[in-house]
Parts: sequence; C-alpha cells; structure tokens
Amino acid sequence: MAIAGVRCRGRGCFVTSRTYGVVVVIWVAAAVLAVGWSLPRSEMGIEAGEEALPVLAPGERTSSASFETEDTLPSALKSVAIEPVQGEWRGPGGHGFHVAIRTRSEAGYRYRQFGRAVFDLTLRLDESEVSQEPCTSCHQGQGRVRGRVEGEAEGVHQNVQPTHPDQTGAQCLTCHDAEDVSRLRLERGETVSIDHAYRLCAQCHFPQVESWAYGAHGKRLVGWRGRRVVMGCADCHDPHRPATELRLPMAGLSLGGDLLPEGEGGHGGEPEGDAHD
Amino acid sequence: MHLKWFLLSAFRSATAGSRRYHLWMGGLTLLMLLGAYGYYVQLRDGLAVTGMNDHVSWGLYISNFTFLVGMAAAAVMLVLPAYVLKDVDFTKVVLIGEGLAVAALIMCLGFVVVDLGSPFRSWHLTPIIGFLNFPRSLLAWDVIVLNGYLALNVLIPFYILYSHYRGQSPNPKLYLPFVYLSVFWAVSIHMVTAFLLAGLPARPFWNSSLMGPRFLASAFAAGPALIIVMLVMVRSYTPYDIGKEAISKLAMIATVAAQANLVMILSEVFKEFYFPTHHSLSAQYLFFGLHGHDALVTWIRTSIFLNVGATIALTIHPVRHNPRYLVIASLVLFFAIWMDKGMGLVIPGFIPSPLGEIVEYRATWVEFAVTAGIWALGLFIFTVLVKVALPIEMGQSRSPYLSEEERSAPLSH
Amino acid sequence: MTERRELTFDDVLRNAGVHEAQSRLDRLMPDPATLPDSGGGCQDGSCGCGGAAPNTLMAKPMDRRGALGALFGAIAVTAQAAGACAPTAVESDEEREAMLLRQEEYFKGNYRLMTPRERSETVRRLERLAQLRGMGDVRIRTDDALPGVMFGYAFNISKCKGFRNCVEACIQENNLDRASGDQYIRIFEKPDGESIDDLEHADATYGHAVPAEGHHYLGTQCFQCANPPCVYVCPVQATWQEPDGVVVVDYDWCIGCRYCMAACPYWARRFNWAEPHVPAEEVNPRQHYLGNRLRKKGVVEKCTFCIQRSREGRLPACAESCPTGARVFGNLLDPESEIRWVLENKQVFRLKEDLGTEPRFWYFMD
Repeated sequence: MAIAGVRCRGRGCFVTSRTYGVVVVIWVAAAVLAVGWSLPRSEMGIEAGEEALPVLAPGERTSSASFETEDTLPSALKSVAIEPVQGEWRGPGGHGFHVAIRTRSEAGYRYRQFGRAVFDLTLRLDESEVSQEPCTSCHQGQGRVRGRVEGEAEGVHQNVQPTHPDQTGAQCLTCHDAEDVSRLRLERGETVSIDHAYRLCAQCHFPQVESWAYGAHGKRLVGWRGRRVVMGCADCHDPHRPATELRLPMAGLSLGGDLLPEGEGGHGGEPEGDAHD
Repeated sequence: MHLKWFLLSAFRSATAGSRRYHLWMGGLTLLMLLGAYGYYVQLRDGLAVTGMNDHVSWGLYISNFTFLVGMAAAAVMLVLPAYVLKDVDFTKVVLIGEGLAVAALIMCLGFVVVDLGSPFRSWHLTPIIGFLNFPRSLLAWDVIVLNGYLALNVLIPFYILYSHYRGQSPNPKLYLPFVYLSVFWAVSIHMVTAFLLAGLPARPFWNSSLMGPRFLASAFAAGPALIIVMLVMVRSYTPYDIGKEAISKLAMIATVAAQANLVMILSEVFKEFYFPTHHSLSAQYLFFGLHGHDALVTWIRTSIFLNVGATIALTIHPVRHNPRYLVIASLVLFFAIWMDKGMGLVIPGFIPSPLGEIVEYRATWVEFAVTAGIWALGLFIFTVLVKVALPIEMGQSRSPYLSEEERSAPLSH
Repeated sequence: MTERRELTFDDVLRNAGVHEAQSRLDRLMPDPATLPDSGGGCQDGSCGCGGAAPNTLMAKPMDRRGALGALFGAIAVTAQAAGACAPTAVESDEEREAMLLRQEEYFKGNYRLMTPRERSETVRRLERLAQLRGMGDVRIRTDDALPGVMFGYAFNISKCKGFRNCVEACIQENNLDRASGDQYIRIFEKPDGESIDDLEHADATYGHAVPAEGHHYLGTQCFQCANPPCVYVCPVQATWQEPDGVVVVDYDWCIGCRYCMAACPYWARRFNWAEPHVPAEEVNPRQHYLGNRLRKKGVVEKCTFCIQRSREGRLPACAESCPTGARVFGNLLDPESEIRWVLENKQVFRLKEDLGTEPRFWYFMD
C-alpha cells in the first residue's frame, strides 16, 4: 500500500517521487502561512473596526491639563509675573502668548527641579554686574531710586561694561531712554518697557526674535501644552555682554565621576578621545 | 515493561566503562562544576561580571550559540543520506550524528539561557501563559525551531533504539515522515539563526543576504569535520564497526562545503574592501583594526589562515584518505570555523557602535568558566548517548524478555 | 481610556505591535471603588458603559496565568508557613512581606494585557516594595496616552553648547543607576567641517570647558521611531509603541535577551548589567510604571521622553533643563505647536534616514 508516496513491501520501504512532492507541498503551504502571518498589518495604522485616533481639527486646541493647578505647578514657577506679548508678535497658529516679566519676578524661575535635584538654568553666568539684578530692586518707575540718595546712581551703573552692540559705536542711550531708565528706545521714537525688550532686540535680530515667537528659540515655561509662557530675551542673553560664556559640562553624578561610556570601567578598552573630569 | 529495562540498561551502559572512560567523564564533570560556579556568580552579581557592555551587548555566549546551531544542523548531512537516499554506509553512523545534534542543541539552549539577563522569566516565552512574539521576532522563531528540532532528534533515535532493544525493526511508516521533516527542519534552524542576525539594518556587518548560505556552508564543513573526528574516536575506542566509506564520504562533504565557505568569505571580503563605505567599518575593525583598536585582527587572520590551510589539505586526495591527516585537518577546520563564525562574526557586528563609538570586548573568567562548563555538558551528553546507543546497535543490549532467537535476529533500520 | 482584551491564542499569533480592540468584558466589569486614580478604567462612563448593569455571570474567567500564579502562590505561602515554623527562620516581618510581594509580582503578565484592577494591584505591590527597600514613599502612575497626542522632538544643533545639563537632569529624573554612569542621552562633540550626521570622529567623553572652538554639538537619545526595529525583534513583546508614539519597556516582562539592543540603529537602549543603585535620598518619587520606576538588574531600559512628565503636560527633563533652549518638544498632531512650526519652517533632518525607521526626533539649525 502506498501512503504519501512511501511504498512498502515486506520489511523494506521505497521512497517514490510522490514523497518529495508531498513534502514540498507541505513546506510551501507552511511558508505561505508564515508569510501571511508576518506581513505587517500597518503597525502605525488603525485596525479595521477600531475608532480612529482623535486628531485635532484646525484651530482646535488640546485642553489645558491639570498642570496649572497649584499642586502640580513647580513651586519655583509660582512667582512668575507674566504679560501678554506686545506688538504684532504671535506664536504658531497666530495665537498670542505670554512673556515672563523678569524685572518683577523672583529669580526663582530659573531654578527647575528634576527628581530631587534642583538645577540653576541661567545661561548668563556673570553675576557681578548690576544689570543682573531686576531693575525694580533699585528703581521704582520713572527712574526713581528706592532708598538711595540722588547722585550716587552713576557709580552703580559704572560696573556695566557693554560689549554689545559694539560695531556701531553705540552707547547707553542707544538703547536706554534718557528720561526713564526702565524703558528702552525704539528706532521710531517709541519707548517700550524693559520687560518687552524683544521689540528692541528684533530691530537688529529679527530672525532670532521671529524664531523665539514661534518656539524654535528660547525657553518655554511650565509644559508643552496649554497656556504658552516664554522667557524673555534678557533671561538668557545679557544685553550688555550677550556671548555665551564657557563653562565646564555636567559630568553626571556617577559615583566614580568617570566620563567613560558606562560599563567600561573594568571591561574592554577605552573609547575614542580622552576622558577626564 | 521493555521501557523500564531499556532505561535501566541505558543507565548501566552509561556508567560502566574503562578507566579512560571514567577519567573522561570525571574531567567533564569537573568542568561542569566550574561552569556552574561561574554561573552562580553571574546570577548573583548580574551580567556585569562578564565582559559585555551596552556597546558590545552580545559576547562569548552568543558566539558559541551561533556556531553550535550549525553543529546541530550538520547532523542532516548524515540523516539525509541514511534515511532518504538509503546509503548503506551511513545507516551505521546516523545515530551518532543525531546524538551530536542533541548534544549541540542542548549546548545551544544552554548558551541562550546563560546569556539571558532574567533567566527565571523564561516562561514568558511560552505561548498562552506568556507572550511569544511569533512570527515577527526571529528569536521567537529560533525558540520554536530549536526545541522542535531537539524533540525530533530525541524522539526518532529513541524510537529506533527502543525498537532495536525490543528486538524489532522500527516501522518506517512511523518515523520516516518525521525524518523528512527533520531534514528540512535542520536547514531551517540554521537559516533562522542567520536571519536573526541578518535582519537587523542597524548592524551593516550582518545585514547581508549571504549570511544564511554562509552559515549553512560553514556548518556543513565544520559539522562533518567534527563527526569525522568523533567517528574515528568511536572506531578506535569501541568495537563498533564504522566503515571507511562513511568517513570518506563525510570527508568529501566537508571538503566541498569548506570550499564553498571560502568562496563566500572571499565574496564578503571583496564587497567590504573593494570600495569601503562607512558600512565597512566593522569589517575594517575585524581585519585591519580601527583607529588603533585591533583586538580581533590576529584572531581572524589566524582563522582564515587555518581555514584555507585545512581546506587545501582536505582537497588533496592522498591527505584526505590518510586517517591521521584527515583527523588533524578536520580538527583544524573545525577550530578555524569556530573562530570565524563565533567571535569573528558576533563581536565585530557591535564595533563600531551605531553612533560610531568603539568599545572593545574582552571576556572574563566567568564567561570562560561557563562556556567551558557548557561545552563539557555537551560532550558529556554526547558521550552518554553514544555509550547507550552502541551496545544496542551492536546487538549486545537487548531486552531480557526476548527469547534467544529474537535476540539474535537481524534488524533493519 | 484603557483598550484591552482578554488574550486568546489568535492574538498571540496575530500580534505585530498594533492597537488592540477594547474589551467588552472590561467595559462591563470595572468596579470603580477599587480603582484609585492611576489611569484607565471607565469611572466617568465615558467608554460607553451607559449604565449597563455589570453582568456577574460573565465574571472574568481565571486565565492560565492566574491559575498558575494562584497555585504557586498557594504552594509558596504554604512553604512560607512551614518555613516560619522552623526554629532557624530568622527573617523579619518586612523581609517576609517583601518576599511574598516579590512572589506575587513574579507571576504577573504583560502590562498591556492587564486589567485596570491588575494594574492597580501591581502598582500597590511595587510601591510597597520600594518602601520596604528604604526608597521612601513613591507614587507610580499608570497614565495612558493622552488622546490626540503624538510626541515629537527637535534638537537645535546651533544652540547646543555641550553643557550636558540634559544628561544630568535625565539621570536625576529617571532614577538612572549612579554606579555605572548610565546615561540615556549622549552629547557628541564634533569637529566643524564634517558632515553633520557623521559621528565617526565624534567624542562624547569630553571634559573640557565648552563650547570648544571649532566644534559643534549634537545629542542623541531614543528617537521613539514610528517604525521601530526594536519592537519587532523582542521575543516576548516586552517593548512596544504606545499610542502617543513613545516606545516603552515593561521592565517586569523583559527577559534580558538584549536582541532589541542589537536591533536599535541609534544605540538608544541600555541594559542593567548589575543591580542599579540610586541613593535613597535622590530617588525621584514621581514615577510611571512604563517610565522611571526603579528597575532591577537583567532588564533593558531606555528614554521614554519622560513619560511620567509628558503625559502630565510637562516637558521632559532634557527639554526643560537645557539652558540654551536647544530642545523643542511638543505634540505633532497639534498643527499650532512649536514642534510643527520647526518642522515646517526650518531645514530639518534625521539620523540614518535611509533605514526607514521614521524617528520622531529631528535636528535643525538656526
């Protein structure tokens, strides 16, 4: 009797070509099944019958999350004063946004907490100049000085050694309003509050300020959605000395303080480049 | 009732032997204990005790695994002629080949388990109670095909031996379909392992269509080479009669496969070095060193030299027909392919890292100990299987329930 | 909203990282009283319960895993009781409790297949275990992806000065192992004049003052690819892509085979070669199950765009900590987001674009 191409007579069995055929058919069937299973069914897409991932319609905004409530807002940011952006500046989608007011805020919003560690995010490093202080720590509108004797003011501001704008031979009054030192002079004679310095910066640095308005430049406070609050130009750039200063990089708090790619302490060779703290 | 006696006599066969046998088994046991201690250290302290790191995340264990899957697949070189082509010379040695496959598979599974970071979670791989990512993950395929092949190679010889033990001829209708299945399965286990590496676009050193064929060629060279050595040892130390024809045919298979393997290596080398791109950096690291890092250069050059030498030696008829030179050439070929397919394939895939960083790999004592332990385990299992199978095949071991006439009846395979 | 279904064998064969249909059973079953605010569930009836009475006859069948777990748990508890009678048992109550919790944890299933009740139970166990280990009070959330959100990230190469604030903030936020110096983020210092995406001569181990002249800086981390090779190769599906695009790892399901690490073209995944060590006073207690909760040795981990922060509407630690504002993060599905403006108005590129991994991390310059 021949079963699947194996013919057996007595105690011997012969293999016929039908055997190979059967085996090939089985193998092909298995391969087809395997391919059919493994063909990706659009890993990124939606399975038929499921509801589609909801997508925002144009103009629709995601809801402000609970991050604006008291207990989720990082405490360092509670003391930020904000004002709507001035002039014709708009954010992505043509919406307005808010600017953090440096002169009235606590310096606290430069501190952020990650885990249990608190970081100081100031880009401006030099703390020796009076321009690091909020103006209102001495001035209270119209240039009046709080608790100081008139005439001592020049000595205080002598510390400021501007390197910017330097190519144009500019001086203090190029930017500052002579009448009210807490206001800045724009080209067309208009004055703006020092809190909205971006309008002055934009006169020379328009591309950067445009990027800043749209979010490709600068820092956003709080989170990625909801009300948009951004830091002002002077929060990162010292208008008198704006170049980024050198600093040592953070090394990571590994117990060995080692900069080698992890795990190499005792294993294998060292990576490219030298590593020292 | 036969089964109980089968197991008892198997146990007796495995534990009785000459002093040489006991020394061999005792030595292997020592190595296994050393490996167990190394694995204990690894379980206790984590894989940090090995030389692997986030850059070179697979090391000696997976290198050996890759090579040994080929050894398991190589048993098909005996199964195919013996059962399908009905070559008489091979029918006497096919059970030894299947024993080698079982030992190699257990070693493979052993290397995978010791490489896992959380081995006690292996049950996650089982379907239904776990979650096996079949068919998308090649590793899931590997789990299935390796265990399936192990089952085939345990059950078919068991059935044949048990039938012989009972004084009966095994029924071909029962086992032949599974034999045909195992022929295709053997090819597939090694292709799956090759695809495991070749399917990764992140590793240009492996991402080549030649990986599958190259794996098969090197497996069919190194596998028969090892089988030749094993058969010569069986012929020397036991009264089992292994004809010259089987060995010479195996030698021919190994030679042709070794030649094909060399052609494939040449093809890979040409592709990497004729017009090197940044995809060739791994090959450059392997053969010439990269930015001063050259830990594997001597290794691979030795391997190529030995490989070429052994292949040439085997190609020369007088050398191949001389048993002593044949054994030496086979051992050299086996070792050369182990070097090339193990460390010479897996490690350079990680150097340089996908982001261009170069971190080299150096195995630690834990890895050496565990590797030695697993190799010892494989050799131990192989020895036990051969020690159990040969008396049955020689007709010396039969069930006590058989009559005198049944005991001496000639049996077919 | 949870989207789950009881696992059948068909699912095991059919899975390829796609979304799973919502479980009818789960809609009928949840008991709001037992669900704390750890995400998911149908507490407000928004998933269409419609006031249907829970059908107790359709009580969730005991799955094999649960049965096995119960069996082994019973055996373990019995063994524990037997062991406790032994005069030489010197375990404290806390150690015994920790061991029982770990035993229960051992038998749990893949996070994606958990019902809300199972999730809250495992969270309870993990929080208690962290407490017993002396890590203080931690809170592990299980927030699902926000609807209508897909995260995207942009990195400004002109602005990065190599300060590595992001690396440090990530370590602090995500409870990374301190001993091995593990970092999800890599900042490369590259000589000017070279192709921007050529990292062959890049150095990530610099220690000098930055920015160094004649060099620019480029940072990498997990790019949460839309077509992630790492997800496809995992043999147990311990890693998958969430609906908001984040590729996550279930640390308790991972078997540690490290195939995903071999498959990632951007070297984004890390492995805990030894038991990770975080000083108790530095542990970040605000954790997410799929994010920065404390891991153990032998499992893979990776950047998750700070899933514990981003699902609350906050920026990831790296984006928030950058002093130069080089990192832009937001919702790709919001046409008015900053990230979308960057993609539409700046010259952006991605690493290894030719591999087709579709990373959700772009680079641009001023």
